[in-house]
Amino acid sequence: MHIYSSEIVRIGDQASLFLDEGIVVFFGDNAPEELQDFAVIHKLNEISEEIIVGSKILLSDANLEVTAVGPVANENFKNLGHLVLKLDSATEAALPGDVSCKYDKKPVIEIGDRLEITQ
Amino acid sequence: MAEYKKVKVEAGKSGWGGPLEIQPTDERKYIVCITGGGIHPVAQKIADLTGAEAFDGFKSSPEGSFKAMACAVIDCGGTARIGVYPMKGVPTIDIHDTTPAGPLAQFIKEENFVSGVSEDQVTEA
Repeated sequence: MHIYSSEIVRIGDQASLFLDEGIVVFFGDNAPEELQDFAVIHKLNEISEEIIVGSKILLSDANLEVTAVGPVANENFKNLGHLVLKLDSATEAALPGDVSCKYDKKPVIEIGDRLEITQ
Repeated sequence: MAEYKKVKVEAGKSGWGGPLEIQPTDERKYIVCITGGGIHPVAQKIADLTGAEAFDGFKSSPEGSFKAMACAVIDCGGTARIGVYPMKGVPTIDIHDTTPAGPLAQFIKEENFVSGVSEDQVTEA
């Protein structure tokens, strides 16, 4: 089942602060400038379903599978296009906004890359 | 010159940090709300008590960006916004029960951050 489909339109100057620690902080392209600096920006499209454990995420050249979803993660995604992916394979979300994932390789993200989330 | 009143914001029962005293000035005159769905009641109460303007920070950035913010009200899940605003010198109020975490945790102090906040934790100072 389709959950979300978009493309990366910008990578903030300071997004590497998070990327270096295996955290991808997404915001939609409607986010304020001061947050875009820290984030990977996707073109905000309609979000059709909630992300759950087992959801598949194609990000750039990497295949991710969701292992845990924090209690406010879907609310943040729906309201703000904001998603925090942690490449930590955790089975319990450490923080309320986390979406933890296992992965075949760490994504190398570039502008124009796809973000596809499916069930 | 506008006259702004000061408010105190305390941590909720399961929250962390603070108490913060928010004193808007002519330079830092916006109570910026970066949550889903417009102005959160916590931001509105701070605006009402201080006399400063509540600003929907998700629709646009105030002129002057971080330097124009008296405080930021967020609904952060613990990683990103929790650190960005303290790092930029903006007193930060999270409505969720969060504690310092993430790559920017070093910037999050009891002096610039308070969490678990609902309207009840906002009082006249």
